[in-house]
Amino acid sequence: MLRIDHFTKKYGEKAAVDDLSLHIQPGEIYGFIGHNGAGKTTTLKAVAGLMNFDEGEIFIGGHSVTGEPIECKKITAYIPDNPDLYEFMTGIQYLNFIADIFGVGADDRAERIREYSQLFDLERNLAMPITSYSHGMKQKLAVISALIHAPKLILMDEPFVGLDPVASHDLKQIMRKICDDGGAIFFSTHVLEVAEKLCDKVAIIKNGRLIKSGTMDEVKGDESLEDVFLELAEEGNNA
Amino acid sequence: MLKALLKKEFMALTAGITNDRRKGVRRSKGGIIGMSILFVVCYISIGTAFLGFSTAFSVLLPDRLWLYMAMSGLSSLVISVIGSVFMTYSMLYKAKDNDLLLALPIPPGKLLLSKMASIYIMAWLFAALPIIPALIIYWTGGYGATAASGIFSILSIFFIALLGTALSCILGWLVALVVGLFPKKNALTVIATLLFLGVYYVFYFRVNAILRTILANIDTVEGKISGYVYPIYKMGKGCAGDAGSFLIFAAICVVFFAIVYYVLSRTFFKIATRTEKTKTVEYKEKKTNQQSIPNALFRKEMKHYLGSPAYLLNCSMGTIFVVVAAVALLIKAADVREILEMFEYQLGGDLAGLPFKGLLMLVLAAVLCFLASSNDITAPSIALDAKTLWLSK
Repeated sequence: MLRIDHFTKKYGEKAAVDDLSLHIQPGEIYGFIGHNGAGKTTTLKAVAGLMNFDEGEIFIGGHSVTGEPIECKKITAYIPDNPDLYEFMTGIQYLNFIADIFGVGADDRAERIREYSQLFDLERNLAMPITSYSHGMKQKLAVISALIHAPKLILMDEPFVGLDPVASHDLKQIMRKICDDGGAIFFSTHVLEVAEKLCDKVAIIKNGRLIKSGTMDEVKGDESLEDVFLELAEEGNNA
Repeated sequence: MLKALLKKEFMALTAGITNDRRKGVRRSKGGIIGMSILFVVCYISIGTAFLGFSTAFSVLLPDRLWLYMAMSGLSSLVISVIGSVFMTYSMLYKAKDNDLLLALPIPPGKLLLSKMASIYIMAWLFAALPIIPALIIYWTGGYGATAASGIFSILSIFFIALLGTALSCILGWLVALVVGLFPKKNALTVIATLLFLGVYYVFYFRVNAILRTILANIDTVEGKISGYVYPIYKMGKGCAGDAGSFLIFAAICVVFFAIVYYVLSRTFFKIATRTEKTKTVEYKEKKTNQQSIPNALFRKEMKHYLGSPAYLLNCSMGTIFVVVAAVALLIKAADVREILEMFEYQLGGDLAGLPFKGLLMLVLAAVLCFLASSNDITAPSIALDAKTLWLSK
């Protein structure tokens, strides 16, 4: 579903991400963890087609992100860590706008909006301007807008920040369901307990370089993911 | 897809009318109608300022109708470019929704077109300001207005707006380039704004002299326009009823816009995803002295005040004008003295029974107090604290 081959992104002389390679199969929830400034957001943005990069190639569903960006974006959804939504729109206007861009039919969009807005308890706020929404409500709206076109690959940057426990639980359920239906999810998080329970595979990035990746059992073994992460972080500091 | 994008742009443009940002709710129908009327009244009020400009040039009618319309067209173009350039800069080169939209399956060309459509609407509103009053003077002045000149004149607003949009996209790119190169953006904004205000006031106080000079040298002006501003020359001829000239003018506007659109669409992705270089400043530990609470709060306020060009300029113009007035009085002391002596002579030495010089001192003191009090730094500082007020509390 997603193949990242030797991806490198430099800002001047400094490599924000250096020679990163990852493969994500359909049906996988892939966690991406690392310290602040490790290169997680840079990687996600490059996959989402929001930046050019210096070396390597990225393929989504067999399409090149640089060569066929529109084809890639048709089957992808990207949820940034702090979604900047159109505050002058109401929630429902925003969802309809996104649905129009993806060409989602009236019946499908009505059904999905109803399903997800009820699930996230946002239905009664859809007629309100987004400017009146709390951060958590904006996050929920961004998630619903990402699901409205039934994407095959979902990219999420810190998706659980600002979500209440019920919404977090519901989001995890949805993520699992999407992957059981053949989709794939690639998301970054600082909440290692969530990654440990939810992810099929995980990649740990430090200072732009991939230091460990694989299935959850391969990466953490008998230890907790937190312990593994801290050990790897310590190794890097001592090196 | 383009329809959805255009709808979004239109909603963004009219958000100030349809939504109450302070309360975070959509206005009622009555509220929307009221705000729309307010907008139209303000727009017409600004437009009436151009009536004087058009009246001054009506001496050209009816013999030099083309020049009359060309002068309106030129001011229309200048105003539409200046009026929309900063909107272009923020919408194309600094748009907050670029990431959101570029992550969607939207071809960059369509995205750019939707944003340029928004800029075009603003450019049209600015372009219409000088031309409509000019047409009112022409049509109501008994100058024998023809249907052809009327139609072409109205249409010219649309094409000038097209030309203005293209030019403001280019200028907006230059603004982005300069801002990107200049490390201290706040200082740049303050300097640029003060320069602009300076140029504006110089022009404002000399506009009568400029108009008199133009009217006294109309043959030279005619030659300059036809030689240096060919599209405006053709626009003027077209608005005078020459269909061929109008078609040439329209073609120039369309072709120029198409070229700018083509170039921008090829580079839009790079422009929209460019990240500003931030200088890394290494922290070096150094000893600091403990500040008292009032001092700490004052330092915070000064940092806030000096760090925001909009705050600084909008709320401190009184201070700036006090300095400007002092310098002006020193440089132009002889002229001011002459004017005052003329007033004193005209009034016969006193004013309403009071000694003129004594009253004058009172008036000058009042002017100084007015300038000094044209500052409202404190009240906005509380509003600007907004979401961070809890820190002080």
